[in-house]
Amino acid sequence: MPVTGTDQFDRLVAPHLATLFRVAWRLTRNTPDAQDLVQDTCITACEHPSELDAATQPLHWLLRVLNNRFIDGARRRKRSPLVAMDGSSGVVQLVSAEPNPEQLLHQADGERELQRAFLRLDQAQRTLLSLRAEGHDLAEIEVITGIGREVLRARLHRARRSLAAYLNEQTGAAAPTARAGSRS
Amino acid sequence: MNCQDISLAMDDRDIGASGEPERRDFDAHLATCPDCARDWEIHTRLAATPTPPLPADLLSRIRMSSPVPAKVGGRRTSSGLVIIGAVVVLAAAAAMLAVHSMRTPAPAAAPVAKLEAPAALPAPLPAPESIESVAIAAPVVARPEQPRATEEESPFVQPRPVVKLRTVRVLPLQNQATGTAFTAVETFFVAFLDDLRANHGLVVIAPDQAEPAATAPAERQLRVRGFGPLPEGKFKAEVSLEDLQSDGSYKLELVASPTGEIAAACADSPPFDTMESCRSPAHMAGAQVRFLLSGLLPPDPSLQRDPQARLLDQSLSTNSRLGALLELGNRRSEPRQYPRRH
Repeated sequence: MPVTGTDQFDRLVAPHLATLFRVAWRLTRNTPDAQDLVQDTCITACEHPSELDAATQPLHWLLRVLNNRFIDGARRRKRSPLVAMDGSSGVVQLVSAEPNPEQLLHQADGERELQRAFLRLDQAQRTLLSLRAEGHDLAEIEVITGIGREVLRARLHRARRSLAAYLNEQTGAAAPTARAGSRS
Repeated sequence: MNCQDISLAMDDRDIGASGEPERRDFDAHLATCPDCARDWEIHTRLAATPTPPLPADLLSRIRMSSPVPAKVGGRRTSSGLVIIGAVVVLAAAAAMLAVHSMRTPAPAAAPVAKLEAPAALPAPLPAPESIESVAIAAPVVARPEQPRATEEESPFVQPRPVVKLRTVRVLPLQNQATGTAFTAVETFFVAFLDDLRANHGLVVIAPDQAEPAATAPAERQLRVRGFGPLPEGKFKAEVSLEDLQSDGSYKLELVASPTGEIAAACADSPPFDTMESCRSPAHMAGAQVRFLLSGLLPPDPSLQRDPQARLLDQSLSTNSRLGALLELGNRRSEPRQYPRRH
């Protein structure tokens, strides 16, 4: 019999909140939007208790919902606001081994470049790269996104190449072979 | 190790957890292959991107905004709060208006009032409680928004997508199949072309077009080859996508070789939600086009037409008009935008 209400939330959703937030932050690259996304996901989970209870892997089910909410939300908003990577974003504070100010500055610049390039990718590419960066393998991503293995491989490859091309554009490096879509 | 091994490893495994010999092979290949090295760098940088910790108040915020035991979640609750707040504010505003109108006599009634009852002017500010209630009620409605960077404020604004004319040339079909497979490949190719043409964000140069369109430069080039019959009544359609290089030549970017059933028993209209439900030539063509459009040939947004216009355009195929209808339906059923829940 499905457990409903608070018990179900505590048992099936709450333990995955940190993972959901990390993935949401990777997708949106700003904390308020990530919080909204997680919140929407949790509300959807509460609206479908039986589906959540029937899921063999609640995390995968939740990530799937999160992914769908992200793509739906992006379609509605057509743009995703960014938050400056100041001290409050937590990026600099998380750098390990106490780097010196120069290293911090360089690292923050690198993060900004990556973030800017990442946000130029479409939602589907962002999802794939975020899930992979979170350590999910293809089998898991296949379950979460519902996309076949071979298509996933191609899209991941394509996403990395696009990201590399955007990074190249930003850094001004002339690298014709890194053009989006070109194959080695 | 070759590029494919590296790609497989990046997609599916934790390289750091692999053995020393494999790790050495991996590093040796990266040292000699700049493309793989670049991919690997992207992969590691993304994985190493630090994420902020889980906000301490997120759980309580979720619990507040979504009453967990309730079936309908927090939206109605939060919208209910908004409605109650709005009613309170409206009542307070009405009270203030009443006070204001009592303090300033109405112009139309002024002469009569002056003549008949000059002493009956309203008492000044009879309802200070109403003003207090506004001050108390307002915070319930106007919850503090978290600071969000706007495009103007943000030091790095999200770049707008580069609008570019997407042009793709489809080369003449190379049908090496025989018998019934030959027909299936032909059907696949015709449906493939139709589905490509149905996308208004894409300029398709078909093989049957006359000069000069046939020789116009295209950003991408598609080559379709058919094979069959294969065992179990199947055929194969190999779709190659080639990318225009700076020297004017085309470089192979992707090869997809789906196999289909020559005489598949499927419903007439191709599905819109899945790629695998039917293996008929037309369905396969639709799936291939959707796959190409999803990542490799994204339509130019500036060339995409409104779904309403596509729905009414009788020159389009049934499938693309049905797609437009679904798109319209999805737009109309989109949930209403509620205020942010913080």
